[in-house]
Amino acid sequence: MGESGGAPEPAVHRPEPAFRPVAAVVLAILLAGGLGLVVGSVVPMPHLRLPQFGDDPFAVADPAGGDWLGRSEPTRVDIEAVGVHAPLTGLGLDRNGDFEVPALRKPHEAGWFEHGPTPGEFGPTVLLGHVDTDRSGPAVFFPVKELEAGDVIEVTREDGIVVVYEVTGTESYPKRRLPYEEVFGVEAVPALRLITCGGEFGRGGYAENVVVFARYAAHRKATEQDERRPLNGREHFLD
Amino acid sequence: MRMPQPFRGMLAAIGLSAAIVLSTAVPANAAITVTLSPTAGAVGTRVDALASNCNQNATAVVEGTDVSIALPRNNNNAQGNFTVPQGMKTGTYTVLVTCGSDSASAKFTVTSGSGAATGGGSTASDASSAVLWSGAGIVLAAAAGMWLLKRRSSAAA
Repeated sequence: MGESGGAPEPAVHRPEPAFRPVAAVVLAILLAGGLGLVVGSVVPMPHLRLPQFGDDPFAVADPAGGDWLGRSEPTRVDIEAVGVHAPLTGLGLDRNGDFEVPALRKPHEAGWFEHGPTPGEFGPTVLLGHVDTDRSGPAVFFPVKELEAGDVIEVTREDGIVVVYEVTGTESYPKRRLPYEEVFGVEAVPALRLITCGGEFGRGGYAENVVVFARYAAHRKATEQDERRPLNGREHFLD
Repeated sequence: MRMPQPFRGMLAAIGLSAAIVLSTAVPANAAITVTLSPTAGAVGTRVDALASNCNQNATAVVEGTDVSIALPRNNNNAQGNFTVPQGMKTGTYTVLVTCGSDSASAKFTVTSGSGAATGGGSTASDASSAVLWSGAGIVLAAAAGMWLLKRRSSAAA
């Protein structure tokens, strides 16, 4: 295919006619790819919102229609799949109207939003935990981003009932645009959400909240085996 | 007449169990319950309220505010909604529903609308800037390669 400029000179090795256009194409692809990476890392990715079912959150939910539990505060959360065994503390809002979170010096502790439904009650139960703290490195909810649909989360209540949930999905949202309708909205059955941090870390802390969505599967009276489960203490997280 | 004796017993048992089944299946007056969705949100959030087992038009108030809500009857329930008004302070409020002579309540929390500060940052990988710098490196390498190609071709010409 290459042009033969006059008589061939066997002594001189000339790969260029074939080499140069190929190299130019490869370099152009590299250039475009590199530019893509640069632009992609600077411009935030648009986030897809799941469509809501119409306007009426109660269209598929009947709060009085199921055999749901009464109110009893949660005491611990166990997620065997990722090795989470954490005590729960009650959390509300701080003075600015932001969510209270567990103390940073207690990396082993998670919390629950105590102004919402308790586990097994109809509605969304919301647990919050740190992904990491300054001193501990990974903290209580560090591994929850690995949870996949079908994984089991168990929450024990003060009355000794263990409520079993099944993970339906995991999402990450910019903190300024946390979709309350989805996180704090009702589902057809009692719901559970785990909230922790994710995304980039900057001056304002982490940019995103990772939310694990789960739905009620069953409940049982705590067995002896349940009660023997270890709780991960503070020492579990210190390096 | 000996036969009727067991029959009567059986009839009584059947009657009794039927009565038990009926009385548990259809409670005389099921308690009203109130459910909100969402249960938390910022100013401007639309909150739907459902009063289950309230088979008539109901009304509700958000205690401590001047928000009042109409909940028209809808099948065996009453249902309505309100929007968290501008200027409502953050905190937890009781939504009290009145259904005839009964009432029930649920809680709604007004938040700042932001997410949760659930991390100290010690494990942040900053993957984004790694991508940025590797992208920039690739661009530089490609540009240098093109320049070399150009130089060689013009040198050959």
